[in-house]
Amino acid sequence: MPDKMLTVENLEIKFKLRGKTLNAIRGVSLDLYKGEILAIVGESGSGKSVFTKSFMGLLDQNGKVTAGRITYYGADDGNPIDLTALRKEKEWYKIRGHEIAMIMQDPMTSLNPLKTIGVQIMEAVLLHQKMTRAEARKKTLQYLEDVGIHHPERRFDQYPHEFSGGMRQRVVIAIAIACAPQILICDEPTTALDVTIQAQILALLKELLRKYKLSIILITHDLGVVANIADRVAVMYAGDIVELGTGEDIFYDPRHPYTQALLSSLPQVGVKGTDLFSIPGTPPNLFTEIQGDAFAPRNPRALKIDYLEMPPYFQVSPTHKAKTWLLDPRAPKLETPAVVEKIRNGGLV
Amino acid sequence: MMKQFSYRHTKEAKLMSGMNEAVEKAATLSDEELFSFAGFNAEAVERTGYSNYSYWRSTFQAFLKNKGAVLLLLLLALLLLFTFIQPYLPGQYDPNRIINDESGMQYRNIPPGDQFLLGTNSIGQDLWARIWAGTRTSLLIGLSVALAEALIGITVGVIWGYVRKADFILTEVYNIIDNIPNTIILILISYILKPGVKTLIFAMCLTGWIQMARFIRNQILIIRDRDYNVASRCLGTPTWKIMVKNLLPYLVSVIMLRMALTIPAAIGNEVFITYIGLGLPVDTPSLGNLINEGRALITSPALRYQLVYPTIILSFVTISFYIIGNAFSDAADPRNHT
Amino acid sequence: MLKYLGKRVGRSLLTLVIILTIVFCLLRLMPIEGYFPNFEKMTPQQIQVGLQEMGLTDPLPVQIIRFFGDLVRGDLGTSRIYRANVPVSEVLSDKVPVSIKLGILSMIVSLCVGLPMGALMARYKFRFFDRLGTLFIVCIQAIPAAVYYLYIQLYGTQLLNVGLLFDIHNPKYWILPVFSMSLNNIAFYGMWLRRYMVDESNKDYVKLAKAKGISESGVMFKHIFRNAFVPLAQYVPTAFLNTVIGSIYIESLYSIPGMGGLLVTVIKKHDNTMVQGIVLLYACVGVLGLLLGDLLMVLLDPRISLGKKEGDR
Repeated sequence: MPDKMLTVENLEIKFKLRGKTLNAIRGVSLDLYKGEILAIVGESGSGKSVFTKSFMGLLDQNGKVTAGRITYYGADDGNPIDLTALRKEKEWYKIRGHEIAMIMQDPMTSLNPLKTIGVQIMEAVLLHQKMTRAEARKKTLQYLEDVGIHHPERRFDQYPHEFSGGMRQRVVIAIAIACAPQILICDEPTTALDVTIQAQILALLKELLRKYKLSIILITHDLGVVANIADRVAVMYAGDIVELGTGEDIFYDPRHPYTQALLSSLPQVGVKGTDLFSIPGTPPNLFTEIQGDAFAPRNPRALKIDYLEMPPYFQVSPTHKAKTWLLDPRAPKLETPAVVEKIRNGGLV
Repeated sequence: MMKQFSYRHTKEAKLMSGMNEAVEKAATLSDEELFSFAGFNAEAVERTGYSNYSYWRSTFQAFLKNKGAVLLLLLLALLLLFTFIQPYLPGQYDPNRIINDESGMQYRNIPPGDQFLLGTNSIGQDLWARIWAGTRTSLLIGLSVALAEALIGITVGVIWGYVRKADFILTEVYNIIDNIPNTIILILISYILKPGVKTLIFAMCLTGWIQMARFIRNQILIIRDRDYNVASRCLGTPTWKIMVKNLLPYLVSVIMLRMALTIPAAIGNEVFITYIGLGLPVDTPSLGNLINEGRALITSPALRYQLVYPTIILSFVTISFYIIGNAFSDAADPRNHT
Repeated sequence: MLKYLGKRVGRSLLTLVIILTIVFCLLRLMPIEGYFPNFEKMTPQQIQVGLQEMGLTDPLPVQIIRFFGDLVRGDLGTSRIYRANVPVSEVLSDKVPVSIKLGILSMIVSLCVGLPMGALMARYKFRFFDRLGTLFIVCIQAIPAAVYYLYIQLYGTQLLNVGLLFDIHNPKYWILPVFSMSLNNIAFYGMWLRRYMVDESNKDYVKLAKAKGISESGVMFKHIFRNAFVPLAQYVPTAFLNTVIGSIYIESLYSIPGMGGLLVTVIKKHDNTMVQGIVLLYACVGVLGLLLGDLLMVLLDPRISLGKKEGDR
């Protein structure tokens, strides 16, 4: 088994919002291994971004980690660091960028419009790698080339508005790489881009993973992206990971009703001439304490116990586990959903 | 026993008992029962997304939450009421009457006391009466200017935003007016015309409306092309409904703020114009006139009350309008609604 | 870039000509007694002759053309009442430098105090310093300047132990006028810089900069402050005009021998040509201020040099 880079244990994150408490993350545990691409999938509002932001101490002012531990194993001296114990901003500076870097969703807004892209990349190089300005400049040009920007010499002095969306995302990636991190968090890196560009960016990420020996956490709501690139997939719903497994586990043997519903709503698996499947209802209100399985009200085949008690993880295989009572030996046996049959028969990708 | 619980407590108690119930239920039910299908309630699923939002109610509620502003609003309302009933109260002097004592001598510079609540000025007029008369005049100017600016500004602004042909001309007009300092226009008009309340109001409105119009026009341009409005139009929502439901809430906030800021500015301008000698004649008491009279006496500390009292009233009025305006504009901004 | 500059300067000149024409036409409506020092004693014939001599009975277009001709030669007409038969330009030449000096000092003070204030308020948002600053801004903006100027003069002179009236040669006497004139702009810069910095700090690029590992103060200064200063730059001309207008009142209050104080004096004396000269000068200052503000924006924002200006003011 490869080395662990990061472990999260029973993490809880709460937000204070106008006198009310929002339970954004409700006791999540997860491991990240060296050199893998771990995808976190879920609909908007499920807490994917909040979850990963807590690794960098970038939660909004009103958000707090109220329980659990995040341990980082990749530090230079080899000692594990408990990230939830970091209180001061100053302590985070050693983590942010240097150990864990981040790529944000919208490349159009994540670059400073008033600084040349060269300066913005160089800022990261100078901050995290000890070198002179001249060396940093050379290194910056190298990074630009690495992320596939031609004529780096000329591009160095250009402003973000002179780049297209895809190119800007490459610059953002270059900035992240320039920090020389161990872990790269990609928060919906392709959502704002054209489909044709998406594939290029994903290929680039894979290439950089190999070249710079990174571990990548990929946040997305697009299962198509996941199928292409992820080693392991965590499915998140209402602030909890309901199913975790390898890409194959999730696509060919989904066990949680939510995962199954998510797969069913992929347009690729729909049958021509019939309505596209959509999950009924809306995600639960996280301001209230959730009882039982959060997905139960939207699940047409929910069990009575789903409304009463939260299911534990049931291990399906060494790499695969899911949080659903359906895996309990006492539960009624259900036939494999049609969508899974279809995917197994080569309906996807 | 339940009766002494407040509503909130009962609600919490209900929730608690509900939770206990769930645990108890889980313990008592048989496995077979627990692992049977619960059935699907399509309505219950949709309930989570429901919200009974109302713009004006939310605005009102958000404003009421701002205790300071509500207090100021009450005080300001009382003050407004008082300025209008003050002349009809018993025992009030005429603000322009020069009061003589029994021997025919004028009551000059009498300090505040029993006979004259706030004293008299240097020619023997009752300061109390003059201050209230002055507040009336200043408020009249402030409110008229704010109202006129809003009326003209909104009308022109809406035309400016919606009629594309008007855009070019109005933009040019704006560029020209924007280039001259407002105060210079104010001085110029006051210099040319006869001094008086109407002149002042006219001079102040002459430039103020275009700022308001520009504001409205920009807001309309920005908001009109926002995606959700385009979507509304595509769905066939009538224009008036888009304006009332989508545009107006954004504009209310801006309009209120501008109006609220115009009132203190207008009152301040009157003080300024009076100071440079182009303001109201002395027989029309205004806060500007009073402050100007008081200013002439600042070298003698004993007479400083003639400056202090008018400035207290003036500052109270202007600060109140400023704070209430800001508070209301915040409350009217849909982004601040819970 | 050059093309944009040329266009912008050309526009300003055109605007200036239009404004001067409008103001000039308005000034023809001035009460005619303001042209003669001893109006009450003159007969209607004498007045008519006098007006004719000054060319005030000519058709308006002729007057306008003559006015611009004179203007190009630096001739603003002749004072009739304030200082009989002295050219307006000569009267002004003594006064303008004082006003400029006062204005520049006040601009420097307000920038030096207002910008740090706004930046600190944004940095410590909703904390004590922010609330204190907000209180200050509310007071300055809500209370008419005409009022608090008086109190500053009244108590400030006692505090500094100086006379009520200005002494140009004693530096101590410059403190209060400069301070008073700066107050409004300090509040102005403080308010807008805080607002823009708070706006900027919510933007994605700031989050990315933080994720890069740049320290809080590094992000504040290198990214947020710099970027917030760009939209702020468009208010510099307004602030400049505030200063100019403030000077009218301040100069008159302290009897400072500058342009603003002079305007109040000649208004009270009803000297038409002097009023005209000074008002026109102020109009020029206004146009110039806006022009400089726009040029400042071009320097600060690389996006504008492409020729398209993003967003409306």
